[in-house]
Formats: sequence, C-alpha cells, structure tokens
Amino acid sequence: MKKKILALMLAAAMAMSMVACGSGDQGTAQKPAEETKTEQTTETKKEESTEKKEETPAAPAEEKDTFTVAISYMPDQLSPASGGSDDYTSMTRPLFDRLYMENNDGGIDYYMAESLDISEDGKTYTLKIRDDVKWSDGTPVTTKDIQFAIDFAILRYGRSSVTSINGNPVEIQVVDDKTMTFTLPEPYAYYIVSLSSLVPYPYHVFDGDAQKMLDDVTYYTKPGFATTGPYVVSEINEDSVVYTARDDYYRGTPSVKKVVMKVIGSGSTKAIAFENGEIDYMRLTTVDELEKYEAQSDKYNIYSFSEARLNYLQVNPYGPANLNDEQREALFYAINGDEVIDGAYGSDKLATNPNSILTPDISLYDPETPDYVYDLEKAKELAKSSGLEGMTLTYIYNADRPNMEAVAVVLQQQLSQIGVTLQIEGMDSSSFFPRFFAASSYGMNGQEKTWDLGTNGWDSMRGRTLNQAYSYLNQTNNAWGLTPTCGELAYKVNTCTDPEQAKAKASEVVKIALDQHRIYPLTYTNYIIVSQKNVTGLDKHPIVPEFADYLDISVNG
Amino acid sequence: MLKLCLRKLGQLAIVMVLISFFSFAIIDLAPGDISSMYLTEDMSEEEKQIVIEKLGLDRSMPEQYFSWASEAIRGNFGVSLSYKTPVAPMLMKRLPSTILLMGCSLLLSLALSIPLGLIAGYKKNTWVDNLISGFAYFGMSIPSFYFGMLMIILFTAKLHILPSSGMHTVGVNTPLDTIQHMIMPVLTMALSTMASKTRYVRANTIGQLSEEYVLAAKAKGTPPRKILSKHILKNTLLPIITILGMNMASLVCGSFIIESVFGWPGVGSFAMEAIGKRDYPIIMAYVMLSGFILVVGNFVADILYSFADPRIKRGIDAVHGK
Repeated sequence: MKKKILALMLAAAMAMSMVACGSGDQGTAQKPAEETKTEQTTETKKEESTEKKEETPAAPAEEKDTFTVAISYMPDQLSPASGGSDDYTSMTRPLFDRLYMENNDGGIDYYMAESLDISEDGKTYTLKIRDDVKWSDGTPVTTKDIQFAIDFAILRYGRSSVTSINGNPVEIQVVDDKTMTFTLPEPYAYYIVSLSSLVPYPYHVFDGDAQKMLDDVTYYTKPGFATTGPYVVSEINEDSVVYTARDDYYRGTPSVKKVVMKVIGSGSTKAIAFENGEIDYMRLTTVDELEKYEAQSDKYNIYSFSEARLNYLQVNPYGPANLNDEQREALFYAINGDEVIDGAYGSDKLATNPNSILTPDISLYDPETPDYVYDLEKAKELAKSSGLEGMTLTYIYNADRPNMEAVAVVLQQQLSQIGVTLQIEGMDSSSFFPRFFAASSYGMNGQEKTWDLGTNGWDSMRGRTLNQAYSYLNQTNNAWGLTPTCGELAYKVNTCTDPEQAKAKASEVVKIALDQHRIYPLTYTNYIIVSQKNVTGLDKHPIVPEFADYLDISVNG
Repeated sequence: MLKLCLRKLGQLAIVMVLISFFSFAIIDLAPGDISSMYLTEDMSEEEKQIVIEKLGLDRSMPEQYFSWASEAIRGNFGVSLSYKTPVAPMLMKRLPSTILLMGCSLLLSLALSIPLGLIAGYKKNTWVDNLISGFAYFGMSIPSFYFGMLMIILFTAKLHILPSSGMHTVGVNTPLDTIQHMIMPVLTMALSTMASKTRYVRANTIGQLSEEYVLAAKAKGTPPRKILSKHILKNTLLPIITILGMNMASLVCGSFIIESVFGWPGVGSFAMEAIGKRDYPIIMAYVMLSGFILVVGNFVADILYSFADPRIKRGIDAVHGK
C-alpha cells in the first residue's frame, strides 16, 4: 500500500513538471519598433501636417510589438458610454480619441478636433473637427457623432455636461459636418473642461437613434466595433482583450502593433507578474517599491510625472464637534506637512508639500500663495484656550486611494500632540463619497453629521481654469463652510476672459479660502511608473489616467 | 419519496423568498450606493434628482424590492446599474470559468481527501496518521489568500514555471495552457476544502473500524486494502455527501478570494466588483443563484442519502406509512 501511494505521488509530480515545462512564452514584444510621431499643439492652432516615418518590416513572431497592460477586472463591454472609473478610462483610451485634452502646461493637445476657438466675450466656442478623422470602418467622424453623444447622455443620464451651465441652457448649433458652435448664456471658463470630456459616438452604426444604442447590449461586446482611436479590438477572451493597431489612423500607425489588456490578480500578484515579464509596466506607490526598482536600472525604466492631483484635509462644518475658528486654526498649526510626506509617502519623489488648493499644472496657480505654518507650541496654546484639547474627532478617508491610510495615521499622531484624539474610519469609495459629500452632492443626506475631518483628492487638476476647485469654492448648501465671498470670486475667475486678471483673482480667492482654515492642502502627488527596459515613451504625455497618447509608446528590442 | 420532493420544493420557495428579502435589505442598509459613480458637485438639484430617478434610488426599499422581485420571478434579473446591460447573460458568460475552476478543485479535494482520510483512520496514532492530520490542520489553518500568494511567489517569482494569474496566455488556446493557469488556484482551493473532508473521513473510518462487520472481514482473512475500499469506504461517505451538497453552491458561485488573487475571470470576482460598486442587480442575482444552488444541493444530498444508505430510505418509507 505504501509503495503504491508513493508511486502515485511521484507520477503526479512528474506529470505536473511536464505540464509546467511546456509553458508558452509570455514575454513582451522585442522588436526595434519604429516610432510614428505626431505633432501636438499647445495653443488654439493645430499644425496641419503629421509626420510619419517609414516603418521597418515587422518581425513575424506574434509576441513582438506587443504592449501588455494589467487590468483589475474584465469589463463586460467596451462602450465609450460606460465607465466612470480610471481603470475603465485606461482600458478604452486606445480605442476612443478625445476631441482635445488640456495638458499640464495650461495648453491644449488636439486630437480629433482641429481647433477650438473661444470668442472674445468667452461665450461662444467654435469646434472644428479634422477632415481626415475616420471611424475604423472608414466612415468619417462628423458633428453628427458629437450631437449623437450629447443626445445619448441626455437619454441615459438625464443630462449632458455640455448642454447647460448653472442650470441655464447652452445653445448648440451644427454649422456643417465638421463645425459646431456652443453658445453659453455667460462666460464660463470651466466649459473647456466639460467639452474636453465629450467623446463622439458612432451615429452611423445606430442610425442616430440614441435609444437603439442604449438597447443594443451586444455591439461593444464583440471584436471589430467602430473606434476612433489608434486601435481596434481584435480579440476578446475571458481574461484579456487584444487591440490591434489601425493602419488608417489619422495621426499615423502606432509603432506598438498590439496592446493586450490582461486581468492580473489583486495585491502583490501584479508585482510578481511584472517581474515575471507578464506585463510591461505598473504604478509604484511606496518608497520601498521605488527604491527596489531604482536599484535595478539595468532591467527597468522609472518614469515620474505630476499626477495633477491635490490631496487635502477638509474640516466638516456640519460635523458633531462643530469646530470654531480658533479650534480649526489650532488643528492646522499642529499639522507638519513635511512629516506627512515623510511618514505617509516616504519620499518627496512620491509627493510634495503643496501651498495652494490649485496644482502647479493649472495656469492660474500662484507659487507665492502663503502656505500654512507648522507651529506646535502655538497649536498647543490655541488648543488649550479654545477647548480643543481633549476632544475626540471622527476622521474619514477613502481606503481605495493609495497612501490615505498612512496619511490618517500620521495626522492622528500629530494631532495627539495637542491633545486631540482622532477616531479614524476608512471605507471604500461607494461608502466614502455619499458621506464626504453629504452636504454637497447628496443634498444633506444626514451623513454630514457623522464626521469632523476627512481627506479627499482632486484629480486631473490641469489646464487654465480653477477646475475642481471651482465647485468647491462655489459651494452648494454651504457644504464646506466657506464665506460667500469665495463663491463670488470663484465665479468671477470662471467668467473672466482676461488670463492675467483671472490669475490675479484666482490668487485672491485661494488666499481667502485658506485663511478660513477649512481646507488643508496635504500633498501634490507624483505618478510613478516602472516599466520593462525595452518599453519607452510612457511619460511623453503625462496625463493620468494613463496613457493619453499611444503613439508615444515603443517596445524596442 | 414524491411527498418528500414536494415538501422540499415548498421549502425551497420559502427559503428563496427569505434569502432575497434579507439580502436586498442588507444591501440597502449598507453605506453608499451606485449614485456615487454619477453625482458630481457641479450638478444642479434637478439634475441630481433626474440621475437618482434614473437609477431607481428615489423609491423606498420595499418598492425597489417588489419591483425587482416581480421581474426576477419571470427570470429577468434586471440591468446592471454600472454596465447598463442585462445581468443574467453577464453571469452566464462567467459561469463556465467558475465551474471549471471549482469543479476541478472539488474533484481533486475528493480524490485526495478520501484515500488520505481512510489511511489516516486505519493507521490511527501512527506517524502516518500524524503526518496526514498535520497536513489537514495546516490546510484548515492557513488563510487561502495567503497560501495562494505563497504559491505565486514560489512557482512564478522564484521558479518561473507557472503564470501568476489569468486563465489563458494571450493568443494560446490549448487545454495544456489552461491547465497551467489552473494549477495554482485549483491547488489553493483544494487544500482548504480537502483538509476538513480528510478529517471527516478519518473520524468515520475510526468509527467503522470498531464495527463487527470489520472484525468479521478480518477474521475471514480479507486484506486491509479490501476492507477499506469495499466495506468501510461506503459507510464513511455519508458526511461527504452532506458536504458535497453544501459545496454545490460554491461550484457555481466561485470564491471571491481565489478568483481575485489569481485574476480568474469567474462569477466570484465579478460579484466582488459589483459589491464594491453597490450594483445591486448583479449582487441580488448572485445571491439568488448561490442560495438556489445551496438549497438544491442540500435537497440532492438528501435524496442521495436514501440511495447511499438503505436504512435511511426505510426510515423515510416508515414515516410515510409504507
């Protein structure tokens, strides 16, 4: 009996090793790729010509010219109308181009749009689509596709971000197949951000019928649907999607012929998959990871760029502690921003200490905005005189965001020095947002009374407007406790057509907001990526969620 | 037997109603909802209200429940709030992957636990028993996600012989490739379920070894192998049938943890994603599927009992006056 068991076990081990030895090569493409460059504009004019280099003949092996990206889940469909998460945006970026995108220099990078002209009074936006833009099935992209996207949004969500501002309608006029105008009831600088999020939908596929697109649940689940980006979907598997480069893409054929989006397990599995060569890059969020890969610069590339994100601490005006001016001041004097960076991020390579609620990626940003000062003695004095000492405050954070738990722990330690106890509660995004925005987006749902302090972040803080800071300053329901002056000034910034005046007003309103000790800017974060050595170009268009432009990316031999 | 079946069906219906209602209530009570994906600060109150109405969140919990239930009875489990596509096809698409993974792990755990349990019971208090029992305790104690990570570190990071996650290598569609991807998740799942089954079989084996029929078989000169396989095995299977009945739900509903750790595109990871988004149509469909299979599994186990052990069938017949 013993011998038979032993024989069975040995046979099983031999079978397993034979199976394992037959593993396919999952390495990434290794080919001297040819880059196809496309000129990018930075202001309102777009250069007409796009250069296209001659491509060297592609190697026949299917593993080459492939860029493999890890995804956390397998989407049920790849519709441009689905999504809402950064993960999904990253998955569909290769398939659907934007009309344009604001870049980190305060300018505009044009894609399907040839130009966007704003009238001198700031009320009329004239959008012109490029003549050579086509869907992957050869149909030209026209203003009908943009109007179709607007109609679909209204049908599905009851609203579109471009059809009204402050509750007043925007007049949208189709001038011809390539030109549309948007006439606003008043100047509204943020409209440029709203318009940039507009993605055309294929009018010709659904006969212009938005209901038909809503009812068709299969079109975007099969390979070969119409796309405007540099890739089409050629394969959909249970755990991966394969995109193949278009030869007729209006900005030139990408050098990376295939993009593979592959489901990788959660937790440390991604790092193991990366080191095993199964994926081509991953994000780094801790200093340990950064140092580990920096030490292996012969095997990996490190890219670092601004995430255009502000993480901040908010004092809830409706919280149970009902903190007064002196108490808030005491809290803010007790916070050591540099220590938050060191303790929570480990390095100023991952995050830097901000001085404003605007990021340096916004043209209105003022580097001279006075920062909060760390003064522990003054904090203790104020804490004692104001009665803050000995209080317990409820602190909430979004556990789905990197480093937020560590920030909470550091703040807890810092505030304990002035006798304040922080009761920390972390939760997922679906629980966090209704609670944090209870007084704002959720119209006082009762949860505004359940927390005193909370950390949140504003992403995509780039361009030439106040961006997300605008709706913060121009608060609804007095959600953030700011004085009405902030809203009035923010409105003036948003409606100002002179960039210099707008910048001056922006500096003024930011200073007024910070003086009220309601919001404490905690970090400007950097987005750090590590890639395989043969993968380059990941930071040429440093926009998050990645990647804004797949033409930049090369997988070399 | 017919009366038993009918009674069980009635119980099934009541249990399903209770499961659906309490699941719905719990999801409703949980903090947060799907609206966090759609509401932004720059929306006007009217716009926010339109979004909430479109999502059906303006209705009370009983209203939402009855609206869902009236459709669910007709087989329509609604439309995903995040994907805007019907839920049932989304689940069905992922079902084969989960059944493949969980089925293989179930078969493996049975194939190993039964002989190991028999041997451990037969060799009670010897080093063989201690070794097998120690292995079982290890399997019961170690968290499955941790063991999964250890496997990935060993076989992928260190030895580079198995892929870390997923179900296929891109561009490769062979059974061998799928088996390679399955090895680690199947072993991880099998270990945790095998451990408890081994202990059950061992305990029953020890109990059966003291029976007179075993003594009679030994007196006749029957070899130990035949005593175990031909006599004792059948009598130790009853608790295994019970466990199998309870495990049937996991066969189709998968494991959240294993599918997430190994990136296996099954029903479990799909449901986990839905829970994070508070996509209640998907969550409810998953819960109903799981509850239904669990109840049916137990029902099937009860029926199999009567075939596996004639004494049980005689008892049932006696109750019904046969």
